[in-house]
Amino acid sequence: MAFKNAIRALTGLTLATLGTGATLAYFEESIPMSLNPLYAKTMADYRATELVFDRLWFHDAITNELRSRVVQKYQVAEAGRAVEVTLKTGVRWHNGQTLTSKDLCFTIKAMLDSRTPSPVAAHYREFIAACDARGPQTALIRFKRVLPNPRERLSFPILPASEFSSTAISPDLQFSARPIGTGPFNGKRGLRMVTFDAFANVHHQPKLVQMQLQEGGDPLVQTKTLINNNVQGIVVVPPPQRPDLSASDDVSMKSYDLRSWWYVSVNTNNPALSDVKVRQALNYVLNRTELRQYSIGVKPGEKNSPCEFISGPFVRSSPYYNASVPVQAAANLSKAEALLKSAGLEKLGGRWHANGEPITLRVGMLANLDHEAPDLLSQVANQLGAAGFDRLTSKISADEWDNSVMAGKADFDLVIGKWSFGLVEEVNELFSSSGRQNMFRYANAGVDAVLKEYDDAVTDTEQRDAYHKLHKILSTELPYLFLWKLDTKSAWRTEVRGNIVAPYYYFTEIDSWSVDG
Amino acid sequence: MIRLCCSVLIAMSLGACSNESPEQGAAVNTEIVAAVDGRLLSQSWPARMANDEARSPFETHPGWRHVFEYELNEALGAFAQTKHARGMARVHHQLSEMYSQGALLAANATVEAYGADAVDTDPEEMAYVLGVSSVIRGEYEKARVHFAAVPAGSAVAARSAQWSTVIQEDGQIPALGVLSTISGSLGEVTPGEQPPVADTPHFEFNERSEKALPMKVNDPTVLLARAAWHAAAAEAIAPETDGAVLEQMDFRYMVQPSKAPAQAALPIDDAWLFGSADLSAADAGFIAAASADGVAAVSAWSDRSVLAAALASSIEDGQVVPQSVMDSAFAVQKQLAAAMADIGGGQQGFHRPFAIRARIAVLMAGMVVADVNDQYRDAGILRLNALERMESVGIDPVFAISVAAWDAGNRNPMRPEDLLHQFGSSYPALTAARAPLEALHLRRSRNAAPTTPVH
Repeated sequence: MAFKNAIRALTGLTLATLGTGATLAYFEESIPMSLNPLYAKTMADYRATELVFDRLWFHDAITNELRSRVVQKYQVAEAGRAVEVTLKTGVRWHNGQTLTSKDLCFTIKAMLDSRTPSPVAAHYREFIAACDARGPQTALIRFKRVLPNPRERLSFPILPASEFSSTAISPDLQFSARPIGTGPFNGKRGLRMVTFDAFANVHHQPKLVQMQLQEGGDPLVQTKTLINNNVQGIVVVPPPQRPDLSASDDVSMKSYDLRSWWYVSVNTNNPALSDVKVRQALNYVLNRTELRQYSIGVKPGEKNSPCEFISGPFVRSSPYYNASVPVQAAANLSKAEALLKSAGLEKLGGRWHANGEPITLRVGMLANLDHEAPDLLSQVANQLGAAGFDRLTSKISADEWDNSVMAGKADFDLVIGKWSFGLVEEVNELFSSSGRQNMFRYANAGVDAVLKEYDDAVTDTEQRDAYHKLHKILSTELPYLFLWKLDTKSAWRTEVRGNIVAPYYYFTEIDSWSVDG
Repeated sequence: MIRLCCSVLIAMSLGACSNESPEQGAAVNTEIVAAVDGRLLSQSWPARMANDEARSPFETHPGWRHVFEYELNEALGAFAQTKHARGMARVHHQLSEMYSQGALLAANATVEAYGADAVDTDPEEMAYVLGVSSVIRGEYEKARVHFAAVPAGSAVAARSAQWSTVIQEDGQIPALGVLSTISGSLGEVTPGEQPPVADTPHFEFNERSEKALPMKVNDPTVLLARAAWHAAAAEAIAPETDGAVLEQMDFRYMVQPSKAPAQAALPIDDAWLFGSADLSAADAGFIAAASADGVAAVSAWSDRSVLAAALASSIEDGQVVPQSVMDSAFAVQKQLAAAMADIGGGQQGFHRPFAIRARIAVLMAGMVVADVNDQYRDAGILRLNALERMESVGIDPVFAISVAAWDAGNRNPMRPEDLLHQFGSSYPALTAARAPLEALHLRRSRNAAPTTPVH
C-alpha cells in the first residue's frame, strides 16, 4: 500500500510538472557515452546529440526532403569540387554567441585534424579537403573530388569554435558532458541522467521545456513506470513488453526506422577458435529458434515477427543480403560434433578438450542488451554447456565495451552484441583486417580482397555483388555467428503530441513534440 | 449532432490517473465518447457487426476470416471454393489495387534511381523502363522521350515501340488486352484464380563499364498487367448491381488520379465494407469525392459519411490539422468501443480490433483529404500514423505497398524494402519492384553522409 501511495504521489508530482512546464522524461537504452557528436558511438549518443546540435543538412523525417535549419543558401562551386554555404544570421549557440562561418570551418578543420581521433571524422577526411571562410556567414567547403549531390554528404553537426582551444578535439574534454550546440536543447550528462533544457532560437522553438533521459533498467519496471506516467516514453521497448503496451490506450507504439542485427563475435586469436571448423561447429551448436523464443519471446512459426534470422552481416530486406545463403535456425549437434573432432578436439567426460586441456569459453554480452533480450547471455551459455563447453559469462559495461572490447583488448572468446545502421550499411570496418571496429582483429585475405572490391566498385551493381560475396564468405568463415535482425519499437504516452520519430536520428523533429495537459 | 472536443477526451484520460472517484471517472468517460453523431456511427460496419446475427456470416466463412487477417491469397481460395461471388470480387479488387501500387512503387523507384540518379554506366536499355515508369506516373511526354531513346534491336525495342503507339493513341494506361501483348499473356481471366508469376529478372542488360556486369531489370508493365487482370476478374464476378460500387471504390488507390464525377451514396453490400477502411456505404462515396474535392468534400458529406463527420472538426481555415485528425480517430475508436459494448451486452474480444480498424480508417481518410489539399507533408504524417496503428491489428498489404510507393517517390528506400520483404513471399509478383528499389538504396548510400556501424 505504501508503495502504491508513493507511486501515486510521484504520479501527481509528475503530472503537476507536465501541467505547468512540459517536461518529458524517457528511458533510453543507456546513458550516452558522449554528447560530443565526434565521439558518438552508441545509438543513444546519436539520439542525444540530435537534441543538442544542428547538422548542416538533414532529411525530413516524413518526406525525406533534404533540409537545413542553419543554411540560408548554398551554391555548388568549382565544377562540383566545392560548395559555398551561407549560414542564417542570428542563430545562437547555447553560450549566447552567434553561429558564423568560423564555426563551420572550425568543425571541418577539427575533423580534418589528425589529432582528433574521431571515427566519425575519419570518414569525412576521405572526401573533404578544406574549408575557407569567405565572409562572416559564408564558407567554401572544398572536396577532394567531384561529388554528385554534395549536400547529401554534409550531414555533420556543427561545433562552436569558441569552446575549444584548438582543432585537436579529444574525447575526454568537458565538452563531452557539457556540450554547447545550436540545437533546441542544451544538454548536461550526469551519472544516472541526462537533462536537456530548451533553448529557444531563431530556428528552433521547442514546445518542451525540459527532457530527462534515464537509462532503462528492468523491462517490467520500464513498462510499469510508463503506464503509471512516471516517464512519458521508452525509446527501445523490449520485445516481451510490446504486446502489453500495444494493448494500452494510454500508450502509442511508434516505429523507428533503424536496421539492427545481433551477433556473437568470435575471438579468432583463441587457438581453438582460430580453426574455422570450430567456429562452424559453434554455429551448429546454437539453436537460434530457442534463443529467440526464450529471450525475445518470439514463438516458432510466428507470422510477421520483428525478429528475423540472418546468415550474414545485413538484414534480409537489404540489397546487400545474399538470399542464397541459408540461415541456421536450429542446432545440429551431430554436425557440430563431427566438425569439432575433425578440428582435433576431444570430448572427455562430456567436455571438449584441446591438447588435453578443457576448453572454457569466456562469453560476454553488452550489458544493456539484456533489457532487450533478457537472459540471452544465459541461454547462449546453456547451449554451449549442453554441447560440451565450459564457460564463464559476464555482462560488459558500456565503458568496458568501449575501452576494452572495441580497443581489441578484450579477454573474451565470444561477445554478444548488436550493430545498428541507417541508409549506409557499410561493414568494412567490422571485417577488414585493418578495420577500426574489428574487435578481435580478425584477418582473412579473401575477406580483405572482397572488401577492396567493394571500395573499388565503379557501379552499384559491382558494390552489391561484392557484398553478396562477402556475405557468402563470412557465412563460412564465421568471425561472427550471425543471429537475427530485431526491429526497434518505441512507446510514448498519448499525451505526447506531434511526436514524429525520425529514421536513425530519432529526435530530428523534436520542435513539434509537446505534452498535452 | 453531438460533437465534443477531442482534447477533452485526452484530458479525461489524464484525469483517470488522478485520485478522482471511480464514479466521477465513469460519468466523465460516458459523457465524452460521442466524437461522431451516434446515429451515423451506428451505420458503420463495426457497430452493426457488434450484433451477433449481423456478424455471423462473416465469422462462419473462412474467406472473411482471411480477408480480416489481410490474407488475400487464402481469402480468394476460400471464396472460390464456395463460389462466393462478392467475396471473390472484393479480393480481386484488392489484389488489383495492390499490384497497381506495386507498379507505382517500381515506377517511382526507377525514376529516382535511373532518372534522377542516372549514371553513365547505366545500360541504354534502361530508357525502356524509364519510359514505362513515366507512363505509370502519368508523365507521357517524358515517356515519349524515353521510348525514343531505346536502342533499335535491343531486347526491349519491340515493347518500346508498342508502348509508344499506345500512348500516342490513348494517352493513358491501356487495358489488359494491350498490356498482355506487351509483357506477355497472363492467361484467361478466371475469377477465383490468380495468373502465373513470371520469373525475375525479366531482362539482364550489361552495364557500360569495364566489368560490364549484368544488371537485373524488371518490366513494370508486368505489374500493370497483373493489376488489370485482377480488375477484370473483379468485374467479371461481381454482381451486376455492384458495377457502380467497383467504380466508386477505384478512386481510393487510383495510380493516376482523375477527377471523380459527382458521387452519390450507393447501397453497398457488407461484403465490400466488412473489415475495410470504408466504415459505411457513404464513406466510399466520400472518399471518391474527396479524391477530387479535398476539404470541400468533408463538409459536403459530413451528414452521411462517418469518415467525413469524424474529419469535420479537424479542418481549420481550409487546412487539415494532422494532430486533430489523430485525436478524432482515437475518439471514434473509443466511441465505437463503447457502442459495441452497449450493443453486444458487454466487451468482447473482437471489439478492440474492430474499433482500431475504424481509427485507422479515419487516419486514412484524413490522409486522402490532405493529399488533395496539397498538404503533402501533413498527408505523410497521417499516412505513417495509419501504418503504425496497423501494426497492432494487421497491416493491409494494399495500403502498405501504397506507402512504399509514396516513400520511393520521396527517395526513401528503406521502409519500402522492409514492406516489400514482408509481403514479397505472399505476393511474389511484387518482387518485380525490388530491383529499382535496391538500385535507389545503393545509389543513395554511395552519395550519402558517411556513417559507421553503431552499437
